[in-house]
Amino acid sequence: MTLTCDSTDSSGASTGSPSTSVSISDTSTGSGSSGGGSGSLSGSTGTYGLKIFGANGSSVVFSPSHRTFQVIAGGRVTLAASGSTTVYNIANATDPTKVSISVMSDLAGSLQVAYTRNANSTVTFTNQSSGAGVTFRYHIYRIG
Amino acid sequence: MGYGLYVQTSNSILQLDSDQSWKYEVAIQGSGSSWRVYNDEVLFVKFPTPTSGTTVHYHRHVSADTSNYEDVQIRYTGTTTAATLDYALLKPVINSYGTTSSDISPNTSQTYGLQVYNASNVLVLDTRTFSNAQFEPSAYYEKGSLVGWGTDTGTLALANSEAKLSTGFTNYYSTNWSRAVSAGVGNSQVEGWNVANNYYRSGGSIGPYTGVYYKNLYTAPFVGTVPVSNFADVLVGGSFNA
Repeated sequence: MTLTCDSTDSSGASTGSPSTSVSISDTSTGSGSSGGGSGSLSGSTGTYGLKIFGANGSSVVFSPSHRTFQVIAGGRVTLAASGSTTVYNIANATDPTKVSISVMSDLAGSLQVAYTRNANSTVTFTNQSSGAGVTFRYHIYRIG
Repeated sequence: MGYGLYVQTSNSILQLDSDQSWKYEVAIQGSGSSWRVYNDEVLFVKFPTPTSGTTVHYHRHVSADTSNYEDVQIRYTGTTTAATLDYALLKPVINSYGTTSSDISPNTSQTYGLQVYNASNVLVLDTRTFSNAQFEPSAYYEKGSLVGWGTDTGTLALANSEAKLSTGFTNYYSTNWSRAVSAGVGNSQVEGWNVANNYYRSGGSIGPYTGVYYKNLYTAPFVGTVPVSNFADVLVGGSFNA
């Protein structure tokens, strides 16, 4: 997206002439993506499987009707300008109902990292800045 | 699967696989205003119901950032005040990678339950770490699926339908995407939550808004303020005690 900026005179009124253009890269959509999906994450209605009770002997804390939560990978990574890193062995990487991904900026830093879910069971994080390195933290977790 | 325990539901939801190195995450729940979150942990928070007719804006603030952990607060946006919130901190069982000081030790006074080790002989599940309630994800918003208007900015009445995370105030929200950034004069971005209760904006002409909304606004000189989509997945969850 390109935004054209207006020029103003000393009173702040528009002169009607553009002063400059600013290009904004929407990194949230990643490479070639037009936006993600959303939805509820239901469990199973099956009545068989593993069932575990809590210490009180009556509360069910693991059952076929519930989803579990497991961190597959996580860490703090520094990428050079335009650099990328790939995390391997992420089964169902392209399915957001099974694998969820988060990226966080470094302390007070801007976020310029995009990630892509790849069909070959990998996830790639890419620094979209060609001018500066970036440090970021990420999580890849299994939710289904 | 070579050996061990593999649990999958009837609709192919994978719950446990001892062939993998992943660890089952157990939720520690309570109320707090600051947290040390290690690399293999995820912090979820729940927001209190605002006073009727109001909206409250929150974002994640990081005060310390190391290779293994970060110290986190959820602040009222525009202030340095940390909110005190109900939370669920998802933590792995003992001896996880790189974060041993944070992990949960099982209650060894209990002599019953289920232990699962993976192929590397690492403990990945120990039911003696469980409390009487557990935590599960209930909804997801993949990156790019939300528009960051929140509830209190913008002039388009329809925009907020794209920002709503949930209607009520019982859910927990993942926090590992929220941030506030200032870079140069007049250039800032705050990505967080708007929590609203029967709130109308624009002098009462647009609304009401009730629930938790995604908010991500970028402000820069000449550009003004524009909404931005989510850079990462946002999860909604809750505890169950069936």
